Amino acid sequence: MSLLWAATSRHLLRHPAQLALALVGLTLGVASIVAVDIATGSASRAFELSLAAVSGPATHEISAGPAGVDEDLYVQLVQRAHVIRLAPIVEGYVTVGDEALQLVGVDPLAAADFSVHPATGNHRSWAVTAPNLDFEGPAPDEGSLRSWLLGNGAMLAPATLAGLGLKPGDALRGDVGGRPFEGRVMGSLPKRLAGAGALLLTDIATAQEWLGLPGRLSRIDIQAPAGPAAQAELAQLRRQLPPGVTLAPAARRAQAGLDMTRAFSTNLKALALLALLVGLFLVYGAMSFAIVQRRHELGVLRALGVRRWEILRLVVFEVLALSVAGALAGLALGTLIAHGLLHLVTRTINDLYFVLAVNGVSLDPLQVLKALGGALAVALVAALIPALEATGSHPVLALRRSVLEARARRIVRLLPWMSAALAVACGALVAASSRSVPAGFLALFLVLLAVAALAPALLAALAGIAARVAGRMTPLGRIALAEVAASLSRTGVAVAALAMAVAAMIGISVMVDSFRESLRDWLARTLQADLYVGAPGPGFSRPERWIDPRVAADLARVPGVAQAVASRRAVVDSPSGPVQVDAMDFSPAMAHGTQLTQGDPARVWPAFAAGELLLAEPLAYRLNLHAGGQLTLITVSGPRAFRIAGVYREYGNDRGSVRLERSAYRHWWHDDAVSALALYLAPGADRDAVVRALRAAVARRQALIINSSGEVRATSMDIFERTFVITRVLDWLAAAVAAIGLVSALLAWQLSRAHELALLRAVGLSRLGAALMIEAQAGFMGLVALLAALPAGLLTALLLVEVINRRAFGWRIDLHLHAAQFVNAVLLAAGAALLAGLYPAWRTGRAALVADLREE
Amino acid sequence: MHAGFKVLLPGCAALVMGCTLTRASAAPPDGLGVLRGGAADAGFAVAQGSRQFKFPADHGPHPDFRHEWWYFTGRLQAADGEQFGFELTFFRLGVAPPAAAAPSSAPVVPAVSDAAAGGSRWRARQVYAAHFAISDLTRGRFHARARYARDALGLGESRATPLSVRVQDWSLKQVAPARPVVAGAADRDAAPARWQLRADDGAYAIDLGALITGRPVLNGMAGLSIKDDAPGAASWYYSMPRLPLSGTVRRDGKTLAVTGEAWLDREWGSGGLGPEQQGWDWYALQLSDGSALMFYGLRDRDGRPDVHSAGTFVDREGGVHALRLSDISVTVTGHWDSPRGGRYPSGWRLSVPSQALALDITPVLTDQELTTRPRYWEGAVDARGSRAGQAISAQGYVELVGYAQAQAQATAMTPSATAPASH
Repeated sequence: MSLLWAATSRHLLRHPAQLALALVGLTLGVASIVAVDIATGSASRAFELSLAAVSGPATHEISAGPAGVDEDLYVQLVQRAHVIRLAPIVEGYVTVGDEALQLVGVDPLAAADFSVHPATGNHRSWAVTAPNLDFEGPAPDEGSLRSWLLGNGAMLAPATLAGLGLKPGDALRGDVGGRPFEGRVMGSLPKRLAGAGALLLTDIATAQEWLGLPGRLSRIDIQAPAGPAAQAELAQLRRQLPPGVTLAPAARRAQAGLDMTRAFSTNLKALALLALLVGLFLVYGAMSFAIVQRRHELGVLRALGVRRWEILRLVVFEVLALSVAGALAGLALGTLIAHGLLHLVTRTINDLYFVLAVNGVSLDPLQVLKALGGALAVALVAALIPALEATGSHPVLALRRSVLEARARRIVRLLPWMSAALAVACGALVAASSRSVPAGFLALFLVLLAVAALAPALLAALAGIAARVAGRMTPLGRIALAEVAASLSRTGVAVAALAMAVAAMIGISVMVDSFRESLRDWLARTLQADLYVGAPGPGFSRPERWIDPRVAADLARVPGVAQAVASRRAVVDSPSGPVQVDAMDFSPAMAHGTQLTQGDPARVWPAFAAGELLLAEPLAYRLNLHAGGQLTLITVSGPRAFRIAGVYREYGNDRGSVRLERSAYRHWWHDDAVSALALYLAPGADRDAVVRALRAAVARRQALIINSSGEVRATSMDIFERTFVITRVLDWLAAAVAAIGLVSALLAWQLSRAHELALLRAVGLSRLGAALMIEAQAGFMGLVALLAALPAGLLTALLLVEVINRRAFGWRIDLHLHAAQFVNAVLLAAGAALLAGLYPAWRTGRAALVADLREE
Repeated sequence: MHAGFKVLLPGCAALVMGCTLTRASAAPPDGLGVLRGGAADAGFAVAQGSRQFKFPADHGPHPDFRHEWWYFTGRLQAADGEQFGFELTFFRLGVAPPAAAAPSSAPVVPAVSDAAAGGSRWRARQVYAAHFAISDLTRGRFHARARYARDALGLGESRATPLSVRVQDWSLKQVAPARPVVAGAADRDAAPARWQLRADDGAYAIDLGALITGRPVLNGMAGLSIKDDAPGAASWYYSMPRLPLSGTVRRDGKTLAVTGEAWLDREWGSGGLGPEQQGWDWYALQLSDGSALMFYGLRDRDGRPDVHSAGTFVDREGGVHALRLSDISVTVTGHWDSPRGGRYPSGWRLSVPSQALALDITPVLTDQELTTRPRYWEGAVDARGSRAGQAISAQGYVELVGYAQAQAQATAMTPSATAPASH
């Protein structure tokens, strides 16, 4: 037995390249899976923590429309709360330095009451402010009640303070929607308060003043202990709520937050799955090559009388040792890559959804196990199939590789049927599942698998044909191509992985381009005004982002401004969750800029002006609503069913929004604030001069953002590009993994052919000739992968645009096709193939003939 | 004196420490910080010299002083013989001196901004806390809770005329003013003021009417109670030892009619304990012969009695006798170990030789510890003994502060009691 171990370890040591390839394959495969898992997992974990930090021990909460809850309601309710605890919360987004922070204003006295209750989880929430109140800070006044109540004191996480270069006692300056504020850092949040990276904690009075929301609360947190007394009090409290004010379990807000990013994280998961698939292919390739390589040796061992199970055990142990080493390296590499990815994920979430600070990557053991287990299982299967094949054969047959290839060819003959079956299954799946996003992604993977199945068959067929054609010109060409066809057990898998990656790349490229073009058209149509004025800050529809009404009035009077159209963006509640409302003054230009996909314009606009609403496509799709139907929204007077006048195209918000005439909005929600102004210039007005006059009018009052429609378009396109950066990065990661798979496959293959090449060299093939031959083989494989990928890529694009995007977001994208979208795919296929051939070609050119001839 | 010292709102009281500008950071983290530092905060009035007490005006708040409390303890009997003890205390704590009173040298504190200019109505210069505890003596249960509110939006308030002190809906309110005897009117037209005490924490609720009879008893030197040698480390302090009560106790949804007698302690000032003082034991006893005894024993860090300890004996004729440390002897006869940490005395032999008084005092329930911050023991006690050779009994309350702190940091009952990271 020890001799057997010695034989196998000597084999591996004497073929370091093989060992390295197997390890690299495993490492990269596992790394790509782990990286995506960690990045997405860390982002959602950070979200949960920050949510816990902000909502803490609350079991329920009271909230109202965009204008918030009247603080007098809290005063009235808290008087009668004897069993349950209430705490008022004012929150909003502020900017300090370059950081977007979530400002949470609490009443430390209510927090003390909250934390007295023996509820769990307080240590993870703003309720820590209660104990924190009694620390004796570095200076006598630090953290004192006076700092809280009268000193505009603020607390931040230690890391956030360090990032801003601040320490307790320092002045804190920032702005809210362009309005500056100033306070003082009164202390740092305790380190044990995880998820507080983007948290700025102040007294409720300070928060109201900084946010410009006097008299209003964002919500009232409720802590209800278990038991009938608390339930009775909760029920009584519910009866006291005025219309439009709702009491709901605190978990609902968490759910809304998660819902908001659901489409986004589904996308990430799908891309992670792609990375997983390609990664597993790579692991499979690496391991099966490693064993196929040893087929001859295994045959010899069998011939020497080693029993089958002994060899299998040997293989299993070897695979396990290799896999564990490769997986651990992959884990380390994946964690490194995850840091880069995480940054992209976080930025997208901040661009599109809410302020999130991810302090570090969190390694979920389950994710790690999943990646390692998957890789290990695939590695075992990959190694056992050839091992079983080799050991199951008669020892004499096992010594001949032709037997293996004959078997591979038999399998390849079945592959087109499999491919066709997969394609049919994909079509059936799309037809059968009308709205399911996961089903859409499943269909996508079926297409990719169909390509993977088709590619080796295509390779065999084309190589056969090409060999005959090329053979008429030069025998060498025939030999080279026939060799490709004859070594399907290795070339097939490599081409399959590459074809799959290229197809995905084409699909994503076409989808992103189509999306970009549709967005560009939409922006051009929607941005009708000459100038747009808005309050800066994170969070599109935050109530604190408003233009001072006096400033707004002055802007409308600036000479050269012909018309100013005000709009308000807010989030209101509905039975089906929060809905964004865009309240706009009606104007013919707005009507002209709106592309209706449902509803007759002649009827829609009068109805809109009369208070009916328009639904953005994504929302209409998500709620399955149509023009003529109704949507219920919670107004200040309670739920009200609004008639839907029409549906319009919109890409501004992936959750979709509702458009309402502003006077109707003001009537139903008692909210007069203005979020943005669209300015139309008088004919002949000098735009630059008007902008200068506008800036002068707002100077030192509010730092508003004044943009031309062109700048708005550019900013929107920028955000669009940023959103898709992560898609592209993941896509390239998968492609790189596929390319490396091809390189290692080719390398392993060429190494095993050293003997034949040496033979060719011996009969007169020049060094250059040998190198060219290898490059030609590699190039041919790349070409076949590309050929298989082209139709599949288009199909993938179609699925992404028409099925997945539609199901995930509900928006309709016009398919835009042009040559540039395929350039990357061609580059990938050709580049990977040619690069893959370089090293074997170089090595063949240099190899000592005699040594290679003696090798066998 | 009294518990008053605990001005401290658990959780935020201590934070008040920050207001005590001197020596605060040297003080131990025991939650008694507001009472430490001896000298009063700049801008607040200081208890010193002499004062002409005026009633009913002095029943109301004194916002010029930093802290103040209305401290009710008492025993209640239901018709069926069930016995209760209760504590209901209202604390007022000035965060900054009233805007008009702040001298120019005081730290700059923004004036309370008005709502019209975008200011928040939550801005407040003082805060309130209330402690409510019921000792359900028949059932052997003790139940306590605290509530807090800032002096804003009507969440908490204190007012002199008519008297009203409130933390949300826990309140002390004057419901009828005193009708003095006037010339020509019949004697029966004279009537004492009536106050109403209300508190409800879900499990227990009290709604008690108190008759404000008898003259307030001025403790210390004509009402000036000196706690330490530091200037300003003193308070104005009066008691009303026997206020007849009648009303209801609600327990688990059932209402019981009760009668009883309350002890009111009133104290206000701006300074407090010296840094070397560890805590205090306070005794308030209503004796069966109609007399009353109050004594507070201050302890230093080694547990030795402090010379500033003092008390008052009110004889049955209403005669007031000030007591000094040397007039009283207290021997601890038993101990109780709190499951939450800390070892409390639990049983005393107290004697006042000048009054020929000797009493053995025992808690009615051993565990009457409030798990507020600071954590302290305050509970109903019974006493038996002799006065001038005659057997005598007494009911009352004892308060024990400064025993829990050793373990308070380590054995936190609630997150609010955990040691802050900054320590």
